[in-house]
This record gives sequence, C-alpha cells and structure tokens, in this order.
Amino acid sequence: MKFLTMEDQLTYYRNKRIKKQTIESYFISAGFQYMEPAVFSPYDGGNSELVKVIDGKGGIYTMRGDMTAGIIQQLGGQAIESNEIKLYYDGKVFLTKENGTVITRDQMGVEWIGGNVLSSTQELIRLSAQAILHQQDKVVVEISHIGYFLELINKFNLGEAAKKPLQELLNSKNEEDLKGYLGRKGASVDCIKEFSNLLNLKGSWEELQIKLSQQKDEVSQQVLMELQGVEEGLKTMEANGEVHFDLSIIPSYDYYTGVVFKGFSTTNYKELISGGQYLIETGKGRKIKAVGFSLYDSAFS
Amino acid sequence: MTITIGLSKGRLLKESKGILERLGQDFEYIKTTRQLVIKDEARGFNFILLKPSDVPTYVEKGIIDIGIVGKDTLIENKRDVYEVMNLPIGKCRFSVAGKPENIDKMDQSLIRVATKYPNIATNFFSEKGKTIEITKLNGSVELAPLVGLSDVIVDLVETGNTLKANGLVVYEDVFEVSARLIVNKVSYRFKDAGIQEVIQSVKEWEAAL
Repeated sequence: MKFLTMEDQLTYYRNKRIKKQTIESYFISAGFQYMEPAVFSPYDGGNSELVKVIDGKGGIYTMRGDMTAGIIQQLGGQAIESNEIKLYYDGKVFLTKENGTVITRDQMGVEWIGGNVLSSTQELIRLSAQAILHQQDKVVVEISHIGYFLELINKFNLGEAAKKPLQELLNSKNEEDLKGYLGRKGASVDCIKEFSNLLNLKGSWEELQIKLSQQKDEVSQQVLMELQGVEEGLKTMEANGEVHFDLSIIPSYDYYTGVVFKGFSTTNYKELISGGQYLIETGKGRKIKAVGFSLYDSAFS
Repeated sequence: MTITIGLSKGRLLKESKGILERLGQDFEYIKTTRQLVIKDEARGFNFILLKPSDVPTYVEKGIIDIGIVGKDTLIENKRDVYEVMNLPIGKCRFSVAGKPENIDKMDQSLIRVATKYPNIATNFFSEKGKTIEITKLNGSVELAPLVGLSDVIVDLVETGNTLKANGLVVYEDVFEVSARLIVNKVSYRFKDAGIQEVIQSVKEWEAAL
C-alpha cells in the first residue's frame, strides 16, 4: 500500500492497531494467553510457497508461512501438564509469490489445545464471529468437515498427489473442471459422481442433514454426528450471524483432521476467518485434539 | 436484492446474447448503448460493461456479484473467485505457433517466446522441462517470429485465420478454453437465492441450445 503523506500512513496503522487490540481483548477475556511462534525453522523440503533463507554456516531455514503450522511444529513433542492450553498470537507470515517476490501478511488467531474439542470448537466458532462482527453488519460462518473429503480420496485410491488439485477445484466450485480432472485421471463413474455430489452437500443444517442422512456409510454418519454436536451449540449465535454448512470447503493447509470453518462478512469482499480441528503430538508421543482459527489482513483493514 | 452482473465487452458480449435475453434483457440496447452501467430495477439486475481482463478484478472485490469472462483471462489474472459454470461460448484454444520452417526451434535448449500470456506460457514450457525467454507483448503477437523477436508465440487461436494470413502454423496446442460464469465469494453467501436464480436461467439457456 502506498500513502501520500506520513499522516495517512500513521492513521492507517493506528486504525489497524485499534482493530487488533479490540480483537485481542476478546481473546484475553476468553482466557487465551499470548504466544510468539518462532520465525525460522529448519527447511525439510516441500512447500514451495515458503520463504527460504541460508544462515552463515550454509544451513537452510524457512520463514513461517502459517502461524498454526508453526505452533504445531514448535509445541509438538513437548509435555503438557494441564488438561488444556489456550493461546493466541499476532504476527507476520512470509510467503513467496509465483513470480518469486516475497510478501508478508498479518495473521492473528487462537489455538485451543486439549480439553473437550466439541465445546472448544463451538466456543471458537462463536469467538471468530465476534472477532469480525464488531466492525461488520452481518457475518456468515460456514462449517465443513474434512473427513468426508479424505474418505473419498482413500475410498477411490486417488493418492496424496490428487489432494491439492481436488481441493482447489472444490474450492472454486467448478463441477465441470472437477469432472474433467477426475476423468483424465481415469477415475470411475462412481468416483466422479461422489466428488460432484460433494458440491451439493451444503445449505442450512436441516438441508445438510437430509442430504447426508441419505448416505448410509460409516464416514457420512460420523461426519453428520460431529457436525450435529457443533451445530447444537451454535443455535444462540443466530441473532448475530448465520451458520451455513458446506462440505466442499477444504482448507489449503493439510493439518486439519475434523470440523473446519470459514467466516465471511457483508462489508468485506474476502474470507476473513479460517480455522478447524487438528491433532498435535505431546511429549509422550500421544496425539491430542486441538482447534484454532486465524484472521487475515482483510479483517484489520 | 439487486444482482450486479459484469459483462466482457467485445466478442464475448456478442456471444452472451442468449444469456442476456434469458434474463429478460434487450440485447441490442446493451450492445449499442454507451452507458457502462445498465439498470433493470424491475428484475433486480445491474449490468456493468467492462474490458474482459477487468471482470475478475471487479468480481473479486465484490463490486460485481457475477461475471462472464474467458478462462484465459482467469488463468492469466489469478483471482479469488468461484467458477460456478463453464459456458459454451468464447471457445478457442491456446497454441504454440511459429514459422513452418522453424519447428525444430521447439527442441532448442533455450526457446524465445513472445506472448500476451506469460503465466500460461511459463507453466506450459515448465511442465515440458524447457527453458524459455519470455517477451511480454500487448498485441499483434504474430509479428514477433516474423521479425525475429521470438522463435515461437503462445497465443489464443480461434479459427487459425490470423496465423495463416501471417504464414504461421500451430506447433502444439496448450489447452482449450471457454467462458466461465464467475461469482464473488461473499455474494455467493449473502445473495445466494438471487445468484442461484441466475445460474438456473443460464443452465436453462444452455439446455435449450
């Protein structure tokens, strides 16, 4: 962003800071404590979007590209003495664009590690809506479950490599390109039909319930049960924001394992919130459930 | 609730005639008017006429709820929008072309490529493991190999007549493209009923073709 005067620039940063402080006050009131995730971590190959740097001894490191991924890496493997940990963060992430230039983004959010994942998910969905509602007139939170998508990948043996393109095609809502991609991969008629159907598994809770209840397989019933648990705790949210369900919402980060959600508002043209359930490994090698969400630049500008 | 629809000026506007008529619009008026914003309060539509490459930008920013735009424009100007329908209009293909006697230049270690679409050209040659030097042009791309500016061009080919008229031939097709119906991600949530009605109308128009 370019500013004509120093005053304009300072006003912009002041307003952004005020918005962040308001959101931070919600996090603190809800019992979350501050954490600063590490900026650098050793490079282990993979993600081409991450910014790589070389230290004085020739070691390659990546700069954090996502706060939640950084926290999973930083806290993972450590002992946890209490029943649950609630933390929040506010910092920059660094990414490489396709043309090779580096961009920075603000990312602010919370992570709730351990405890009862159902009630923590409900509370975080409400908190995420509150975080953007203070400045917006209407909010929609869309809820999905990654389990349904992952089950289809496994069921039809599509492999890890197919996850990213399928995620992008589902997120763009393009049924014809989705069918074309699966057709080129030699997928069966049933496989194409079930992935296309994923785009129709959306609407109010009542609509989704009817659509999913027609599918008798174990995963559909498990997804339905977990979503129902979350939905029941959100009935009181209806006054402030709407809750929709859409099983074709597949987050771009692959650490999510269960319920995922995104937040949108009428006065902003972009997705403001992204979050969901994931697993984190503790010191004893035990994986415990966690849930979190992040707010991006658009939520503060 | 008003639905704002962005239309790409030029060839795509002419091919959108059937869609606009299905939405109850006077196509001749839209085609000939000098107004950039056309309001139909009775049916709850606003139409905005734009340069094709600007349509995804307006849709992403939420100024426009629905846009009609070529897939080529979407690929080149990556925007965060939903592509809810492939339309049977604006059909053409991306091809690599050059002078007939220079086809062996495709096997060179470094290929000089002139194009209006550097991202598409880069991705295509990258997948083939070829090193290229891109020259970004804004028009009359066919001129580049004729005057020695490039070995090949990557461009949209509809009939092939322009290539033929300039003594060029297609070496290889990159992929086929057509127009898309794109939707703003927030409108998709907050104006769902109106947007689904438009999508349904477009589907009915397509089915009747």
